Amino acid sequence: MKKTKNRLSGRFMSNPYSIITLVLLAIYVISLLFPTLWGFITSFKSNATDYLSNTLGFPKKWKFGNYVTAFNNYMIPVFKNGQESDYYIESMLLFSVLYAVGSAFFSALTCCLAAYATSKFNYKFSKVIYSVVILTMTLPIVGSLPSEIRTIKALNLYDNMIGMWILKANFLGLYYLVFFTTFKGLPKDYSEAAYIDGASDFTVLFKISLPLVKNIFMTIMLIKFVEFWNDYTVNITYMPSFPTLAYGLYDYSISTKPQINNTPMRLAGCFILMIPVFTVFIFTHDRIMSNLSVGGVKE
Amino acid sequence: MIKKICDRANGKKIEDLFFYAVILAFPVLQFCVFYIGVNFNSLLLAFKNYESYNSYSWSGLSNFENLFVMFGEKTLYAVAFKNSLKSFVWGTACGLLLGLFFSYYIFKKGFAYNFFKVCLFLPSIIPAIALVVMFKQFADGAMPQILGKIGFHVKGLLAEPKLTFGSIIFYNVWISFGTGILMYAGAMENIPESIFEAAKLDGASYGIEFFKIVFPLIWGTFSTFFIVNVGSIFINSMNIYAFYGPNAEESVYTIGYFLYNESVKTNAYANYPQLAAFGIVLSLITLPFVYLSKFILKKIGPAAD
Amino acid sequence: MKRKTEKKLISAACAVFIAFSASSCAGRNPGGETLNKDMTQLNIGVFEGGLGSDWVYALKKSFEEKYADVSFEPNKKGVQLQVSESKSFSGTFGTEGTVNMSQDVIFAEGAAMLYCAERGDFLDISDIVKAPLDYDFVRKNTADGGESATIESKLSDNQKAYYSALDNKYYALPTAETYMGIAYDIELFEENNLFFAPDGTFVKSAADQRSSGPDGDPDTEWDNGLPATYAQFYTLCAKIKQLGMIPVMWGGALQEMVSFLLLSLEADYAGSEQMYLNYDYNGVLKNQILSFGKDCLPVTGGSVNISAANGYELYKQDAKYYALKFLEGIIKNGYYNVKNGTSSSFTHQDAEDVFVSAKYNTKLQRAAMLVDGNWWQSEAKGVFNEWEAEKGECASLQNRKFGMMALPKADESKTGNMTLLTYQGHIGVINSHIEDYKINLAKSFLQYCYTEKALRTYTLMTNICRPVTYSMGDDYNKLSSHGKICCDLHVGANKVSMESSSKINRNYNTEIWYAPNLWTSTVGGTTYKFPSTAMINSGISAEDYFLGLSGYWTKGVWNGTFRNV
Repeated sequence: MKKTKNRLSGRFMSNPYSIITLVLLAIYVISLLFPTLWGFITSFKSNATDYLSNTLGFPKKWKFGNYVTAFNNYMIPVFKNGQESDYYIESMLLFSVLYAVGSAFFSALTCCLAAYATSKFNYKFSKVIYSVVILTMTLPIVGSLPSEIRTIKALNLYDNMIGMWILKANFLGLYYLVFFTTFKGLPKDYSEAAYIDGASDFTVLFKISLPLVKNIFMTIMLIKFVEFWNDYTVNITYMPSFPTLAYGLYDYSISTKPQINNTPMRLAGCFILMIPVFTVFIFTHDRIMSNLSVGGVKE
Repeated sequence: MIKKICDRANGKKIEDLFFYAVILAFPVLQFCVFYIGVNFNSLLLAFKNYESYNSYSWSGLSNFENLFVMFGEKTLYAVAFKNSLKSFVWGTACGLLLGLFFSYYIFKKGFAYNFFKVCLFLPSIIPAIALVVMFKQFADGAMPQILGKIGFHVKGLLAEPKLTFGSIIFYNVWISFGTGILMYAGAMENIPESIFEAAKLDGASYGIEFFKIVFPLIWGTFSTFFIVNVGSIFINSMNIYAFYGPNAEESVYTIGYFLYNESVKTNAYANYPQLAAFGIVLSLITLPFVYLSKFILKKIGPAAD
Repeated sequence: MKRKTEKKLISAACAVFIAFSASSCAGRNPGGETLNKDMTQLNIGVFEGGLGSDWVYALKKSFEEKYADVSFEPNKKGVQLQVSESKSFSGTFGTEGTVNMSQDVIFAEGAAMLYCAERGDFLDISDIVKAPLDYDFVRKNTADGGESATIESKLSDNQKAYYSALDNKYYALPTAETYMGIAYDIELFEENNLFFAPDGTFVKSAADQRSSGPDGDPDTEWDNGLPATYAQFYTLCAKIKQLGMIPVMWGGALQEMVSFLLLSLEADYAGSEQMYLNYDYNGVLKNQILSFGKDCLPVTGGSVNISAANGYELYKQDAKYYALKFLEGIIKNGYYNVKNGTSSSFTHQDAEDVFVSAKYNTKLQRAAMLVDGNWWQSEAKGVFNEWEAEKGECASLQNRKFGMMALPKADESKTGNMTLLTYQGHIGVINSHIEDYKINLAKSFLQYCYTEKALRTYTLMTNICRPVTYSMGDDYNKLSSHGKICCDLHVGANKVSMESSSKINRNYNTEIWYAPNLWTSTVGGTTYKFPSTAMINSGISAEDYFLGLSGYWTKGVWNGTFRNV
């Protein structure tokens, strides 16, 4: 089996399309890894005595203390009820995971359910929903922030995690269309067989349709997770008491504190976040990004 | 017997309607509260003028009239419009198409495909701020020195005016592959193996396999991405704010950046009416193109069978 | 096997994550001083920026001692100041203003003062502004031997008008006198004899008599020997360049600093009254340049009444042209850091670091002058500390000799005192949402910051001045050379501020004060935001750029941008 795979792979690699793609991929990887490596090396330099006069080279003296300084300065002060609490990386990590996972899950779920309902049922309202999605994708709304904050506060959703999950759980955007297309493309055989056996709509949804789109769901949830993981504006506007890592990095990158107000320190701050995420990703990317074939009706 | 069938059919219809209503209840409610409710006021702003804190007065269509006067007077709109179109063309040409080819390569498990898959997804994992800091430092700090050593003297990829916008487009394409790879490769995995086996038996090359089998079968995913790209031509700020803050030169403005920049200024409240009017005009321009793209893609798209 | 390793790794990561995060749920209490629960906490918020909060800590002890025996709350005696820095204390303080902030007294930067006051974020502090400084708001009595002057008496007329624009009540006070200028390395000037002698040549030694400088007054020593005119400035730059150094440096990533310098030059040329037209839009513009004749000689026009409706006429103000001319001379002759003057990787902080470090790090090309704000030394504290650790006290911020240069004049006819254009938005306020029992305490602290002693302490800690009238007295000698020059400018210069309560300034504040918006110019169908990059990259002349200002700010664009003013 392995020999067949290798032989097939060898066949693929010997054709011009794959060679060109390989070259392009190699250029891409070099363009990505080279600056990353340069940034990593630079993060160990001293600013005044090294980096400014030695942009490209290796550090004259490796300052591992840069990372300790960066770690200790990753701090967001939160003011609430007359108290100041300082949140460091560990807290920010917790808030980031809660926010990103929760928002990604509820956002993907809302998209999925709305797409399922509108793709499976031909009511006029389904067309309305579809048109709304298309329209909202093209409509740049400005100046809605003050109104949004007032609404969230009125509903008691301001500055709490559950409020954010609710706020992010909308069906608008590209992923509704992806789910819609997916559900439209699903073979009807399973669901029809289930209806004949007396299954309700809810049973068909949860036991047949959702499992069939499990991979798409996980993929979209992952994409949204990444989007929410990197979102630093949520803390500024909706959730000031739960600073996330993304906000921590943003605040760190614009800080004027003397000890971190230079390029090597900024890069050290960036890598403090990147290295753990990168390490976990390296070991789990197979599971995260696995493209399992969808079970379908067997011929 | 017929009555029984009709009764059962009616019962099913009611059950379906109930199910439909329950499933859509939360999404529709969320939309009504957090989109219509919140944004209705913002849309109304297009017909108002700012007086002082929390005070707007009705001004009819004057914001729209003013907008068209400004289109003629300021070069910014033409430049931003052109740049938005340029970034769409290059983003689609490079981003979408390269994404397809890379996805196919990974799907076919080419040499070091796992390594490339991880690298392509990395920019999605790394925070945008970190990427921008590294890119800027490298593009204007390290690159001039590297290129200088091989005889090319540039101030920097971002500092050299002729290269600035191209570098920004490059950056945006550079970080965009992750999502596409996931979606395309996922769509490719859904293609039954039997089709590939049949193609192989018929002696189809990989090029024919890609263009005649794979691409038609993932056309739905591709066209969805394309339509979304069309829809967001004037919303895409191209990460320019991350590069330059509010201080980008006009030559690199896109409409999306202009809108974002204007709305986050300290006294943005006074500009909201004008921006809201501009937003409506942009939507009116974009909507027909979105539907037109959808129509054309459906027309020229291959049938799945 | 790989799956097993993967599982173990994921389990270990999850365990670490849970332990790590669970230990941090509640956050930690801030480091430093322990909270004393037997004392009333007065929370002081300071904008997290270059100026920092060291000056608050310097005032903390004496203020706390003053009320050590006063009870503000049941079972508590005395007050403890809790100082926190954050970038939240700026602009409009976020969409929710100061409602959720626990800070009682806030020192903000870049704040939209009138907007926030109108929104109800700031407490009315008219009483502390108008009361004598020796009146104690907590004890409700007048201390013996205290300062009988009022804060109001220390404000200028323009400041009084601006800060009481809302219903004739004060809601904020100005806190920092900041401006953009040219910092210069005094040690470098002395080592290389870069000062001018009275006959216009360079001095031959540090002890030689120096010229009178731009103000033409030999008695004001702080600007003696500095270039008096643009022509002299270029002579200086030529010599510096000949010596293998960079005459003028700026951070390529922040071209706006050069644009702000141009505003400072414009103010110095125009004078305070004519410069203030650009913020108030109420007065008579005296000198316009309409076009250029032979040999690029300006063709001038007559006076124009300026209002918000025809503010675009100000883009023909002659002072703008001369500021551009100054920049053109620097760029045309390569008197700036050519290698990275437009590089987005060379930030203004990098420029500050090079400016300070080049004396010791000989691999760096030394720069004689730096385009930066007068707060630059506070921002560069990190690099000063680094060198002090390497080289000892002689390399410290206090002991290195830098100064803010008196700006040269366009020509000899303009010789005289410098006109200083100061920034807006640096304010001290009291949060209107604080508890009632803290109001008088907060007022007392804000008032305390404006006593002569506190004003001097502020200057000693930051090396810049507050924009109110006061004297450093003997403390002047404790300042660094930079601090001394800032004080000399504070006393000697004519001042004009960007603060105005005109409707156009209130509603369109960013367009009115932010330099890149003010220097936008359309030349040959292309619009440029920064004169510096336009001149460097496209070779645009000062004349073309100046005419392009009116080319951009046409009547249509003006009325389309500033609606309902």
